Amino acid sequence: MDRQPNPFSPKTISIDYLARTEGESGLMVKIADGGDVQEIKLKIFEPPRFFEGFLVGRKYSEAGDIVSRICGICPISHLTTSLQAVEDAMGIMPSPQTRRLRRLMCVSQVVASHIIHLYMFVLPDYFGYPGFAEMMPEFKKETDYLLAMKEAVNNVAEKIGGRPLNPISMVVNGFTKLPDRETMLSLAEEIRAVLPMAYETAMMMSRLPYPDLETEGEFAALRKEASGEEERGEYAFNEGRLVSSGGLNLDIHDYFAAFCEQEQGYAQAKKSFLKTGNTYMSGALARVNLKFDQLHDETKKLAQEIGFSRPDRNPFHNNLAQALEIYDGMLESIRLLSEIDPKKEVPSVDIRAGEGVAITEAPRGLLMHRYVIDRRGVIEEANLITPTSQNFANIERDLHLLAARYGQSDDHEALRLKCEQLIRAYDPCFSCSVH
Amino acid sequence: MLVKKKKLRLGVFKYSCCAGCEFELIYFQKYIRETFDSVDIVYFRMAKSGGSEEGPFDLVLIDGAITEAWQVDQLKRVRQVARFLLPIGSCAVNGGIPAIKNHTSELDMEKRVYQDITHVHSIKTHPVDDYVQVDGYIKGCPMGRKDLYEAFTSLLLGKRPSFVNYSVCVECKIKGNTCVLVSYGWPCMGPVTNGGCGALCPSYNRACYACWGPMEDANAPALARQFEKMGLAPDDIFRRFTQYGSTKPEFRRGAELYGSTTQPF
Repeated sequence: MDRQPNPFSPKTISIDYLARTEGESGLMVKIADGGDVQEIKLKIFEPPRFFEGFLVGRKYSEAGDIVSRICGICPISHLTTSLQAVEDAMGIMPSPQTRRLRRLMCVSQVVASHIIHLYMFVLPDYFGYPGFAEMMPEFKKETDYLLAMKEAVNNVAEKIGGRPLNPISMVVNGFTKLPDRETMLSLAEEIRAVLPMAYETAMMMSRLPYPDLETEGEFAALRKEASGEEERGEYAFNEGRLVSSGGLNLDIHDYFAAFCEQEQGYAQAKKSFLKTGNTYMSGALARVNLKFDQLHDETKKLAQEIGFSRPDRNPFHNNLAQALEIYDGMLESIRLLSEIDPKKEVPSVDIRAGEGVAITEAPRGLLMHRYVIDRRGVIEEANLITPTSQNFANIERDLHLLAARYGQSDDHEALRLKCEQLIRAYDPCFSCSVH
Repeated sequence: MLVKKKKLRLGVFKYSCCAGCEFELIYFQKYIRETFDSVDIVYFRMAKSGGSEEGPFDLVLIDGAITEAWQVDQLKRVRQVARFLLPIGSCAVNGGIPAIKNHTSELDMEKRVYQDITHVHSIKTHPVDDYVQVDGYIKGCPMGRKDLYEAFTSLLLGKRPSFVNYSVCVECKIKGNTCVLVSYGWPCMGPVTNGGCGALCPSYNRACYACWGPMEDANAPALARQFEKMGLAPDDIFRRFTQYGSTKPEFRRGAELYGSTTQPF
């Protein structure tokens, strides 16, 4: 149960089970009378789930279906990353059509995930409701937007993937079934119809009163430069190099040369750091900061209208960055749906032993899968590093800054709300983080 | 005078899982308005701050498998204050994907993932009905919308729910799909898997991988032997029956013919 403020010292915020996030975590913040922050612990108590343990001994062909179940919001990210890691291990290069369809699936999921996060997890905090269900009677227009937008992007994943959660058509080196051109075009029309709602969503998000804060960690994201006659590289989700605001620019295979993870006694999730010791933030804000030039022109204009200027170091503005990505993702979905004319391809696989790495941008940040596979296609080693374990250290660091800045001026309830808003702004997935 | 409808007092508890079924619930497509209109959310941490674990509840939905002892304690307490309790999704219904770990020792499993295992408190994976009596199952991975709708409408109307209780094969026949097991020789789990998905994988040129878990009383050994005749290696057959639902006797009997399953206790 949540403890009341101690009238003496230190000032304590204790949350046993944080609401409106995916998965299970608690928070402990202790501030001394003078304002010194004594303790910050994000206690991720989601039970260990052992995916890295039980993937060992399973076949390459099952891995995607198994890892989809790491996350209920971003199954497509885990699935895609897994397929790409297997392909990397076996030296398979999927067709341009497969890669573009995967991009479309990932974009649809990023948009869907951001919509749920902003409307159902974030908004109630700023309007003083315990949850979105309680807001629905008063916020009819917002409810309409949420439902219409979610339905349109879900339909993309459902028509191409078979179902929006845990799609089944995506396999190693291709798709088992493809929609026809007419379906693609009608999906594009559905998205076009809800695009104005995405614009309104960004406007609404820009009017929320976010606390001031500047994160001190680096931003990290996947980035792809233009190739051939492209005017600009695509806003990377599934392919690219690892870049950071600290000057990092790495091939994804060199991930472990620059990043490391540590176990925590008080949390079931491991915590990632840069090997320089610095913490980092990945996710929508990092992406928009590091690849603003690769957004659609209409999105850049929208960014200007809502007053987003980069680099934006306020972690609360991850919500704004997500709103921009919803709009940009819809534009990108319309483009891909209009351009791709699906042709039948048979996904074939020559099983080979090897080690494979893949990194993608899940809705809430960088996601890494690494497998070692034997000559029969059985997985011998599996290592997964999820967005929330990568953001874990930076969330705590930001909480520290927040507590130091507002610990004296705010009363207990106000500070507690700010802490929750900050954690939610990162859109953490504690189920993923433990995996 | 308008009579105010009595709302269902709803509790949703999450144990070890991806929370995808909770997502299905908070985003229940076009039913979301009527669903939220017909319930009072008493406890559902992913959707709402606060709330009370103590209930009482008209309906409790349990998402996720049991993998730590505290979950059992809470589950038993919740059962006592719930009129109806339903596990939702494969993890809660049959152990789901988390139960894959049951075929390796806990020590090996823990050491593969953590260096310091003193803060790991895992037990073998159990479905919810190993510990408390349940009033039905909403199967699927994620849970099926049809059964979820059936559960809500039945409770509101005061009728006994009728959940999907036939195999994936039935749905292939209804759809007129070519049988991928007989015609293409793919190791399809459809004959022993509970339907409800609309024979999704066979409709997408794939063999069913049993994500809805076993159909009641399914004859898994017969299908396992058929896979052997088709040339599947023993370890591949074992994997087919242990990806989902191997805590249930139906699938365990199939798996046991081709590999060693450890008992879930």
